[in-house]
Amino acid sequence: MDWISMADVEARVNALESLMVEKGLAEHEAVDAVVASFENDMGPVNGAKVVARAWTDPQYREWLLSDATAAIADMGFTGLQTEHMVAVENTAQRHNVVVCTLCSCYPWTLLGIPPAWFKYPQYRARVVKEPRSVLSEFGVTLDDDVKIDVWDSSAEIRYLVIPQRPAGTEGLSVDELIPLISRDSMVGTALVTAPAGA
Amino acid sequence: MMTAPTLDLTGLDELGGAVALPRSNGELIFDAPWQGRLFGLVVHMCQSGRFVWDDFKKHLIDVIDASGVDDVCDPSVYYRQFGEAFTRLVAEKGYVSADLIEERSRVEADRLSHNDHDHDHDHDHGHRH
Repeated sequence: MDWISMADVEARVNALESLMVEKGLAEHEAVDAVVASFENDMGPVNGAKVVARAWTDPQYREWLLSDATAAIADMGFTGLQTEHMVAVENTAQRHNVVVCTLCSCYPWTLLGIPPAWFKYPQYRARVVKEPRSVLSEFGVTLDDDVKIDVWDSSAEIRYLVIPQRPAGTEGLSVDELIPLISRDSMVGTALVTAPAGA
Repeated sequence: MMTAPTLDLTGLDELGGAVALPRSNGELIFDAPWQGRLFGLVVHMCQSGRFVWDDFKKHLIDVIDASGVDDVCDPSVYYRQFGEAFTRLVAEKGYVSADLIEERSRVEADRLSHNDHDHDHDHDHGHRH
């Protein structure tokens, strides 16, 4: 066979995208936009379902925090890159953000295709050293007394951030909560906000 | 937050054709993120006028014919052929040489296998700040 082997194809695709961008023939953000237009079929809605259930079902929340792999599998979301999941919960005192400093490990069966910035060397290096500044660049401004934990993904462990349920959403059903929960909020680079009028 | 534009695949896709995109119940299917990134890159470059779809399709048909594998139901097979076709197209267009693609692919492969330990910190978990 003279086409790309299975082992090498991911590297080849990364190489093609970075070369096209360097040559000025493509933009990461434009690829993101195409991806965003179809990723909802397979994307962050799965992770959002997990979070919405944790918000509304205290027993499930406990299970998710103690054994995320099993709790997520219970929702039917199994497979590559969700084998060893850890869920970390944002609170008024603690904010969690996820990075993969070495490459781009990502729980994509829950969150869809990773955005380009997740792979940027700047994000991978800086979020570890100066998470508060990086988060503010994402528009997430945290009080100084909020601790920030940065979780470094690996081939063995992937993290899911359980964002804080915003005030004003107490009366919303699971189905109404799901669309509020963005991909970035489950990586930790965004907060969830209540819909206007909620 | 980026809003998703409607993806117009008119002229890019032919349902049921020899090079039709893998679908399930009408929806595009991918079984790994690289497939989506690759598809996104090819669609973006085509839509921004870097090539016309028929040029790409010609390569895709050639790759599929030469491989003897025309199981377009399996995205991991289909998108490898898709990647090979795109590699041939950009080399043909003179956008980037096959050698440079090979060289960069090796660098990326090392990175993906966590062999590029040129970092200034350990790969610990749960850094506290």
